[in-house]
Amino acid sequence: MSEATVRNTTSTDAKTSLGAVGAASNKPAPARKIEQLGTGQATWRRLRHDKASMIALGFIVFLVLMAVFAPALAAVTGHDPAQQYREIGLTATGLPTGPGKAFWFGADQLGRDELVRIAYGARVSLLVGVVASMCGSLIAVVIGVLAGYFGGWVDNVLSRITDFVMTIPFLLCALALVSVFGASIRMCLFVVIFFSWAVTGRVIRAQVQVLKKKEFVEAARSLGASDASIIVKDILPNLTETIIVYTTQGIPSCIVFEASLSFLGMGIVPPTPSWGGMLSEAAGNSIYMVAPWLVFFPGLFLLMTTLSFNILGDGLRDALDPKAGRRMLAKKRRRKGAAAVAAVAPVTAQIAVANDDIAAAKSAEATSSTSVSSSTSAASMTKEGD
Amino acid sequence: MSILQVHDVSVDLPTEDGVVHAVQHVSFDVDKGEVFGIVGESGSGKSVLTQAITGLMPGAEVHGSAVFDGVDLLKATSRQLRSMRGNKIGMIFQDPLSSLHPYFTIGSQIVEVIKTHEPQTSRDDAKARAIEMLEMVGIKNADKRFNNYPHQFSGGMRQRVMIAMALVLRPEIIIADEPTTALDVTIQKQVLDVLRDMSVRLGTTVVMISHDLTLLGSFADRAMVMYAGHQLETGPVSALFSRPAHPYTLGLLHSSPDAEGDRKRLTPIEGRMPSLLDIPVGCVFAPRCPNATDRCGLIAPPRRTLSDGVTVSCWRRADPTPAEAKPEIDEFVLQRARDRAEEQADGTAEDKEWPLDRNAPIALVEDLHLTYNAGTRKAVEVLKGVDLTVNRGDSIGLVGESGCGKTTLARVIAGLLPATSGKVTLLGQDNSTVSRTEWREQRRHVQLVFQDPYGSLNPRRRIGSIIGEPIRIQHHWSGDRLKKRVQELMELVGLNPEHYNRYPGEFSGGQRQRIGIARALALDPELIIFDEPVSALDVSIQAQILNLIQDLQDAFDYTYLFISHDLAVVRHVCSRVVVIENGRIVERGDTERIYDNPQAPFTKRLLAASIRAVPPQSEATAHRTLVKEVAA
Repeated sequence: MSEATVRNTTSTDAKTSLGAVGAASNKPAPARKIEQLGTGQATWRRLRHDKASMIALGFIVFLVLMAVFAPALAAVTGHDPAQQYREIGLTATGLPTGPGKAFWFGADQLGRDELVRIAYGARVSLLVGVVASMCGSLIAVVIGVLAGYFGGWVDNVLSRITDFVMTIPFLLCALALVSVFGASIRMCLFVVIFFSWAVTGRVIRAQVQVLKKKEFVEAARSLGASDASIIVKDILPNLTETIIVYTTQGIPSCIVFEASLSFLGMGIVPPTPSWGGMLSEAAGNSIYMVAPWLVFFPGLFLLMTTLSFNILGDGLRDALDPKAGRRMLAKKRRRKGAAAVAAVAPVTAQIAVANDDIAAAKSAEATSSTSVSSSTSAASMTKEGD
Repeated sequence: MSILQVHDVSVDLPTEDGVVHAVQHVSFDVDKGEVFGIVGESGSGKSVLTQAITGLMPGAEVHGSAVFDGVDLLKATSRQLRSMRGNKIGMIFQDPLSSLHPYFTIGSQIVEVIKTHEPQTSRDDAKARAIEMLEMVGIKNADKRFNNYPHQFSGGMRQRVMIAMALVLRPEIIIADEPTTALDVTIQKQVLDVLRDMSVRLGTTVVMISHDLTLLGSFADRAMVMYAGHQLETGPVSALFSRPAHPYTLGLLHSSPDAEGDRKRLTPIEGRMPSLLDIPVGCVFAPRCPNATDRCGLIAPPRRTLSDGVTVSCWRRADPTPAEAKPEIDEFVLQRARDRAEEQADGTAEDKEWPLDRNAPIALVEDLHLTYNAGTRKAVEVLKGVDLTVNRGDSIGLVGESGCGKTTLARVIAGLLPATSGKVTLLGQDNSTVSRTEWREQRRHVQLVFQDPYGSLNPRRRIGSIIGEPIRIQHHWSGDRLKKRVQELMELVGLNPEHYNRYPGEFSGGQRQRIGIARALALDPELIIFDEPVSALDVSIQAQILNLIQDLQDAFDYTYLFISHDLAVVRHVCSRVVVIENGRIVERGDTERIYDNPQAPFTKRLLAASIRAVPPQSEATAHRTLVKEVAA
């Protein structure tokens, strides 16, 4: 490729098209260097500037480490999660000892180390939360894409199934299932997954319906691309953000599901420690009245975990979105004033997209706020006990 | 006497990427009663400037002064500004649908404007004034239509309502921001006439923002040309047209599709607008300027005032010379593409599988009807019996207003939509009888280029993958062979082949449209359908793309079906024109014949609206001299 291939228009175009932020190449001085950021890098850069997300991420990393190194923690304290230390863990009157040198987070009513049990409980919570949320998203993507893309009777059938799942009273059904088939971690996972995909499925269906009408999909169709190829190459990549954000935000609600089930004695089978189960045990015999740490620590961890995942999900949504720049500016605009941004980005074609986006964001916000409130209410409920 | 004096205004907008210098050191005066135009391509800062002056952009940092009616608008309190807007300064925006509230009748919205600024007016008086105003802007039965909602009006009528609303308080000045851009060409003219007429009758000063210099030629008295936030040339419209003093003004005139005669090549302005994040060292236009010298890139040009009232920011003292219209495709790239096409024609005979009659017309449309939602109450008949023959090597322009069914017709011909009745024969095969595998085979021979350069490319796929998609699907090529072919195509349409791995988001509108064209060319189709390929682009970029489309046909004898709402655009690409009105073909014929001697009344209207009069040169302009020169 010699000089001749780089022609006048293209060469100037090429210089100015580096990144969305084209540098002016009309000075003799070296033009401003524009780094070309990949999607991942750009997302990370935006996320890094969001303090709340970084704190949330920090806590999640801490929690993961704690879960992974739970045996090490047990070794350091010298306490096994299931071992009952009746001599040192309980006072002469049989009440648990509070936080102190021997038991950092105190001991429970059977003389077990609360800290070690919380660390092991984190394993259960994270496992259920992450696995259930991912499986739920997978189901949601399959059903949402099929319903949204094919429409017609496929959509009718799948949407009615979604409606059906959404109308089933979660606790009632869970209790019935568990009492018939018995409690186990597998059962618990199944129930949580079954109830976690419906909302995401609907959102994805709606997005696919919008994407399906885009010209690039029609272009692919006019080239003779098959439905499978269009779904995999054109639709799915454009759903990445939605999927990542909804999976992240689904984790806390799954954790709360699991905790609720365990609290009711229908989730994780004792003596395996789980946060919900610990809260439930603390509520038994009103032991929390004399040993409030039994409620405080598991409740705190549950609250922090759900809150962190929610905040991170929120931050991710802002950072991942290619139009996030506009949204950030939109926030500024609300503060500072009118059409500044509208004039800078006169891309009318994208306004429609932005509108969809705002709608999606609003629905996402709605779900996240409900899950926050549900998590906090779950935590407060457990704190208040019976 | 000037009513608005803008002096040295700069507007900076803080954004995530840095500070955007949207407007830099702009000064102009608007005389009382005149129509003052502000012209510029998108991103030139024309809207930002007026919004900053009227205080609609509080987030921006605005410097300079704008004195209106003895008050510096840039120093006025927001309270003062609010009472002025509507009362003394009227506004008309681009989209009449979104500027009118859909839940209130237009009458109540106009009355509300009156009551806000003149609370003492009684409701009946306000209503009477509103009706009178509506009648003045040409709304018939205004007293009845007073109680209608915005959706009950057509686009042009809505814009008239907006004009009435802006004028009802008899403001001294009206700022119209692209008031006709969203409208059909024929309606555009009517709306402009109303605006002009009102300005004469009421003595209102009009500041009109437009991206279209030729539109202002028949409308404005004086105009200012803006580029990348800079003011390049200001003066009487006749002078701008007949003797442009700045190379950019000249370039705009030459790249405008209605500037040159039939089939004559347009001369686009090469390159594209620089980023507004940097403040240029020299002249902002220097990188694209055909007359640029070394000095232009180093020192900002002085502002010169000429004897006929023109001020221009340019180093060049002589009149600018137009750039040469260069071929859009390099000779050796073209030769290689030809060689490849020949090689392929000799080597493989896979085309023969398709029932292809070399002599038959490419597409034959007979008595085509298409009804959306057929059989239901919402049935809309879009195509009402269309006959059309597309022969090999034809370039046919389908022209009509929005909603006339031209895009639908193209979709039916391409086989993307089934016809309700009638017959479409594509390459000798009836569209309604093709099997699934045949349909896929057919895709090789018909390709589309879409209107929206943003929506037609998947933002999540790399350019190489987008352009290579048709070859991958149809020929199952992969690896280096595919990459080589894609890079050839990219060179052919004037893209840098090294950008193979970029995403569409990194390209400008014009470049995206080149990508779309490359994708359409990938399979050497028999028929290429262009669906308004340039209507979303700026004038100078539009000319580049039109030239490219034309050059490609000259080189490879493609068959084109070119859809457009603009007769002027079609003239440069097509040899035959078909005019559609409300789903029926009202006129067809050779391009020249249609332009010289239109028969159907609709064609005449369309032509009158799209070919605009150029104001004649005045005596003062012919003998202009330099009055003064102020260094920047």
